[in-house]
Amino acid sequence: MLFVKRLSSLYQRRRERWITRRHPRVEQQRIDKRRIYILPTAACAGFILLLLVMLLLAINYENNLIYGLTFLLVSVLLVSMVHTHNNLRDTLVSSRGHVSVYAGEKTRYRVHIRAPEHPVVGLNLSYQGGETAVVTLGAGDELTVELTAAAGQRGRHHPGILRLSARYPMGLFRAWSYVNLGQQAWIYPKPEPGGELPPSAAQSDTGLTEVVGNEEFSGLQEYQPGMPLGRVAWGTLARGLPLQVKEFTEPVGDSRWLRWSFWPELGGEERYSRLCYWVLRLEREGKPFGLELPSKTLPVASGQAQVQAALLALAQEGSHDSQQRSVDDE
Amino acid sequence: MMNNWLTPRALNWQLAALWAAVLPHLLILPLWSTLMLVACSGVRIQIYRGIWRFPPWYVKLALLGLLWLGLIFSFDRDTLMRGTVALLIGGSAFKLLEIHTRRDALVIIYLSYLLIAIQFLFEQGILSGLYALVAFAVVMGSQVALFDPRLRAPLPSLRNTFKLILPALPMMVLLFLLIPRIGPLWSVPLDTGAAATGLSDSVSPGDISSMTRSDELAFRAGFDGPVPANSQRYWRALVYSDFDGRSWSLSKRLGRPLETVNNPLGRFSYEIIMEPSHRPWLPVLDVPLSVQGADLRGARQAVSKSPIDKRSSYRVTSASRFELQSELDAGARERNLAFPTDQNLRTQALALQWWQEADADLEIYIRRIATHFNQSFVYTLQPPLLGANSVDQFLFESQRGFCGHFAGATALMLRAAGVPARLVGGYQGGEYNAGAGYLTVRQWDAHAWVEYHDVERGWVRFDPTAAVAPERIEQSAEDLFADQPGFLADRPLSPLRFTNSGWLLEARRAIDALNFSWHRWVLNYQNQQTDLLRSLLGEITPVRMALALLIPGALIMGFVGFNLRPRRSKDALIRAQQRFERVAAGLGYKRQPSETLGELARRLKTQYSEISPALDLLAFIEQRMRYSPDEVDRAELIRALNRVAKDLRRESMKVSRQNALASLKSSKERDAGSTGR
Repeated sequence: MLFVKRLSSLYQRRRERWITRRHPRVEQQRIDKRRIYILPTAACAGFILLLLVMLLLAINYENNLIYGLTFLLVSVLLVSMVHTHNNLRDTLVSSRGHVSVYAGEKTRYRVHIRAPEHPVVGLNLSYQGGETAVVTLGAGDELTVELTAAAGQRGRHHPGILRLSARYPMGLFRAWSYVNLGQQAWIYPKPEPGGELPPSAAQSDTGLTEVVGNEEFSGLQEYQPGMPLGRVAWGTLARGLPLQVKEFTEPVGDSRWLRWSFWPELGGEERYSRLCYWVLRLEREGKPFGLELPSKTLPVASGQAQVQAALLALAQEGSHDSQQRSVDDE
Repeated sequence: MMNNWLTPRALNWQLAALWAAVLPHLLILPLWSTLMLVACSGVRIQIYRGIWRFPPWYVKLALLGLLWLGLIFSFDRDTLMRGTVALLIGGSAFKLLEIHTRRDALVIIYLSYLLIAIQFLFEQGILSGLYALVAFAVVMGSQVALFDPRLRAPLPSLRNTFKLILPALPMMVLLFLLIPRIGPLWSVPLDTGAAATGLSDSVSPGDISSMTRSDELAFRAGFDGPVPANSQRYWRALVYSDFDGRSWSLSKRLGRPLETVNNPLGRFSYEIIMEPSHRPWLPVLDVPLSVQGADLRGARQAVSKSPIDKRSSYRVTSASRFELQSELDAGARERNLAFPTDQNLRTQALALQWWQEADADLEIYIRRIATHFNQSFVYTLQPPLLGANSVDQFLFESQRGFCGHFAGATALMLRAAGVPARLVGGYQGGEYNAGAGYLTVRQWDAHAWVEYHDVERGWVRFDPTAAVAPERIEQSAEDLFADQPGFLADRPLSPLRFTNSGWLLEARRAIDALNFSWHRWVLNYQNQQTDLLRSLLGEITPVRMALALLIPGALIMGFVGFNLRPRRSKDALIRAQQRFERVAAGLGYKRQPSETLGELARRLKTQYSEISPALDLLAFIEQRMRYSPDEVDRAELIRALNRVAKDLRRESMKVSRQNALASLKSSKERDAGSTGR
């Protein structure tokens, strides 16, 4: 049993490697007729069984009308094969980046589909380990689809080869194709709550000026996208005023540093998870922070851009090309 | 798989498909199968509307039990095929109650295809063929709807179904013409539900008070050569030799020897397409020499190997001039002279008296009988009922009757005089359809006549009805009986009552000709296949057959592929845009996936500054179109695109010309330099 399992997994790996070798990485791919594979489905086996039963009726009862109906079904089978092949043909597939996720969640990628001068009906798109998305496009229509792929570890993730398939119009054949869009995503560490930050005073520089902070309410300001939702003044919104956020002042010295060296008792991945949790918590509280990692240091700042940069740094830390610009970072 | 669920529209399609496939069956099946299907469809609709839930297993089990009971009570061994159909319909109806995924739906769809095919076992007319084609399109539409998730769009799905069916039709014709037919692999039962019509095993004229004649088709005959005259068209089928004083019946004794035919001359062949008679006897013209697919038995009866339960055809070769063996063996002689001597005494007495007056001359005797009939007898389809001694009563009292009366009385008179005689049943005449060149013989053409044995000539045909109503033989039965009350009495609204003349007759004949071609070229194509293929291919070899199948097949498939090829867009804007992109790509400026037309134009401007006004205009119009599309005419953008494409092409030509000149110049300089050295 184990042997069979191992054999099948070996076959799977070999197959994946073969497919990857045959389909080099591209930004965008037109599914031309040489890239479409087609084979009969299980429904086709049932259909052929039906044809045999009808042929037997025709022969034994010498009934030419049943012969005719059988031949009509055979012809429809052949014609539908051409249609199934054509349905997929000339579809344009391109990459549209990814949606960032935390470790343990299913990774999500965006793929853009453009139909040629004919409709593409019942197109199934999937990455290995992800769910299948079914889309139907009219002639010349375009659509961006978000696809899930297998969950991954912190760091860089490749979803592998994109599979496209369709059984339209009669389900008797399945046409499919592989596209290697070379998509990849950085997976953030999984946030793990716990630990305490050392008191901010202990780590502060001398702060004289007051900057926008946490401590004292200083007024209302118009909401801009990216501001923490925790500080939205819901009360004023209820009174019919535009969306506003409460503003607090805080001494600069109260800013926090998140350091790799804080929790020496934790192992590597756990430490990333702890740091990730604190990044998100400080973002929720609206406090500015800086991040210090063995190979990278982010200066103190606040806002969405800082959070994104911090999460990305946490994802990239430790991978061999962590110093490089992240790909797909759009 | 996740995407296996059905759309509501696909469910509607399935109900339509199942009903379309089942409808003709429901007309002949017991009522409960219709009720079952209606109930299951209703439950299905309620489930679909979310009002009811899928029934639990014990409900399904109970339904299965009911179906089983229904099958047992309604069908027996003779109606096995109908029972099978009822089982299939019941199964599909129950499947309606548990359709969850595509696979369940495919089961129903495949069953629907099968039910359409099975319908052809019961009915094979042109109309049912056309209906089946419509039903087939609906079932196929439902299969396409399964794999087409576009909701609320029945029309595209229907159009795509026709895109599949239309190229499949010529392919079907090709396969139909070329695929060789083989004989049945094993014998199969077919229901004998319909009562036998037309000829029966016995003739007892005295028991019939009203002879109704039906216009039902008996058979059609197509002749290779000229059609025999009406007076020669005696289609013999059955020979009645046993007489019990009242009715004539088929001889119980089998194995009557077949008369030898000497010197047959004037051979002619014809093909008969026989309607189901549920009997093995086949009508043939005198004197049959060979019958394809049937035996010639004693008394020149053609008997097929099994009853004619479906329309079938056979070829016969007959001879118009012949001599039959004149000897009659003792057993046959005795059988054809036997009659109950204690009945019909007056007839016996009259026979003996006339026989003596004729000096035992058979010819004079026969003529006397005929003359007698001609004097005072009346041919009618509504004779009086006759009591005991029915022949006496007919000859001396009522003197009214139809062919059975005359033939029976004549045969008895011959036997009483010591001349071997028997009754022959079959058809006489037939309507000639000049356009299509064949004869139509209907049940009203059924006839009976006499054969007597002449010592020199063997068996001789004598039709006493011709003596009393010669027009019965000269004209068609239809012309003759039209005024008689019994004629078509069972079919008060038969179209044949009103179509005796004029264009209606022509139309009827045209329809009949169409039916004949249908039977000959479709239903019985296996008989024509060899001849047709030989005339088309010259000679039937496997290579030629394969080529004949593959070449047109490849053409059809090629046409399908050609029809689906990527086409140029009909939108002028898209075409202009594609042209512009093509030209730009040719100059090394391939449009990037995220690049707008304006950006591409600006990129081009860096190198092709000569045409920058056109490029600027393009970028401007394109931008304006994005932000306030109402202000821009599409035509304006198309014009700008075309102009840029044209200018670019000219520029690129100019550049390449300059490059060519420059390279020419440099090579000249090189040449000059080398010569100077």
